[in-house]
Amino acid sequence: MGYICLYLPYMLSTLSPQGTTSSPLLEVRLGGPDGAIVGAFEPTSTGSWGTYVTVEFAIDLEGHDLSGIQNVTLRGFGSRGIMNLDWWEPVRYEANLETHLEVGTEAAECWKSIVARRGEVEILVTSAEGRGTWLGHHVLPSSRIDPTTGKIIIEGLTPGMIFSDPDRPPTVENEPDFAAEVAVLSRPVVFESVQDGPSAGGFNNLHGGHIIIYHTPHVAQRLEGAEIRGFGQQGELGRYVSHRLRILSFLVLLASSFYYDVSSSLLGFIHCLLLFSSTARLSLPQPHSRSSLADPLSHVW
Amino acid sequence: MSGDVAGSVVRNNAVVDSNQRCVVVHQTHKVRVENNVAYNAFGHCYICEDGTEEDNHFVGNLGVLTRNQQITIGATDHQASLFWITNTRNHFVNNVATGSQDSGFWFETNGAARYYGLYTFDGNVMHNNKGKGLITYRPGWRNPSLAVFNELKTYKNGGAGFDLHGTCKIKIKNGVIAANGVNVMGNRPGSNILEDTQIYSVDTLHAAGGTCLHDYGSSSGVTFSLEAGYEMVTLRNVTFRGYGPAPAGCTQPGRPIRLWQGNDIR
Repeated sequence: MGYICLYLPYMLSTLSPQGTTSSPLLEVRLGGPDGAIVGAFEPTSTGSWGTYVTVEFAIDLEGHDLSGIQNVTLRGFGSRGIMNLDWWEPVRYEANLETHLEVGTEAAECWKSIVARRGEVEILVTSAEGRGTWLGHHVLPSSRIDPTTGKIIIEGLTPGMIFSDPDRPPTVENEPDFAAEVAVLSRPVVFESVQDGPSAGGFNNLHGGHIIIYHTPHVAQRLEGAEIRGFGQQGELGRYVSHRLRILSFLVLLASSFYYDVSSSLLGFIHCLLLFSSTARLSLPQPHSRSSLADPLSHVW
Repeated sequence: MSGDVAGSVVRNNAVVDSNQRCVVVHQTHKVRVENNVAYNAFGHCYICEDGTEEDNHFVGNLGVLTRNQQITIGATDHQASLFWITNTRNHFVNNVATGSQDSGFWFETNGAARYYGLYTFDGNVMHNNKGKGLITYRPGWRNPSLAVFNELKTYKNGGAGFDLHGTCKIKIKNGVIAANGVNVMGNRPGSNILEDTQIYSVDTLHAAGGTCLHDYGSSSGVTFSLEAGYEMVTLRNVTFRGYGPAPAGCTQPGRPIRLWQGNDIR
């Protein structure tokens, strides 16, 4: 089970000004109102209370126990009315569609060392459509990279899941100044924290682990190629300990006596994991309809 | 809290699902934070902690999606920004900020740092943030000399692309500013310059006369106040595009140049 698309017609006639915290937000939670957030949608005005607009957005069920019958809760936030909802329909898409994201051979070649070590990797595609669409990013959890063709093979991707107009995704080619970014989130070394459960207060306390890096005087220290997941602690609990060490999700803390260095022999090959402003283009289940590969990359990390 | 750590680097890491911030530089100088990816955090993401940090390099980092902190820790993380700049005596080059619940880059300078100059701000991109792409307010950065924001791209942010409220001596050069709620907004600014910069109401194809790709609402161009005692904004070789009649299905964009609470310049 991976992504599900949620079709949801809604109507909304009035909104607070863009950019204020009172803008409405609809969260999709697994289970009850305090369950895990598996999707979110930020409604915008449809013009009037009599106009419904059908939207499609992804909910990510990867990693959740879905055995048996599961409840899904739509939880709204906003100082005024959130929206009127006509109906909603979850639609599961089958995996193994011939879907891929073309990033060019240079980036794919660059990322193949990660694939060799990790197998499938997580790909992040940022939002670059619409205005203020801060939640529109996509994590594609099970992607393979073919360095010979420059294609990222994405399992279970569906038309419209990433870009509203798959024929004109926001690439450097289509929108030279306003492309989306594509990045690999996987790294050779993974630090992953367990999380606490929901508190009695109705929200997750968000207490993950923390990493402290101590300073060794007169030594140039490095932290490279680490994947740090679920670290950090909200509130004062994890902020300081008695000897004033900062405890955050990841910290450049170079102040004490313990020397931590990730060996360059292990991590030296991951210097090009990130692709900014790529010429990424999306090929949907009709890959042969496209005749050309992506343009040369503008930047490769 | 390390002082001078010249030669130390934090590079090519991925910080995912952080509960509090991403990469924090605290009372540390000359560290290089480079080519990192941060995704889905709470609070400010890449930060200089308390405004004393200097000569650090933030280069080629990608910050994607940060949410307002639920439990505050005495700072402004409840208005999360992806790059929280409390001291401008640092170098910011080729970073990308997208998906903040508030702002992409926030110059929140306090104390002595409120009056510092800017070392480097070159090639940075901020887009699709819910609030503003870049803001120098609150409390209001008072840079002493001309600060150049070179090759800045700020687009598709819900609020202003560049809000220089109360800040003077800003020069935006070789910039691309597009499809924001307001592209450049200045209230009580002074001696600010836009030079060799393109301002679009919409995206590139749309501005070039294509069909309506997306509706960006009434995105306006440069908005500033006209007040006695202030030398106002200078526009030099600035291109405005997409401010003509909108294609069918798109909202008519606002004015390319607009006075704050005054009459529009047509």
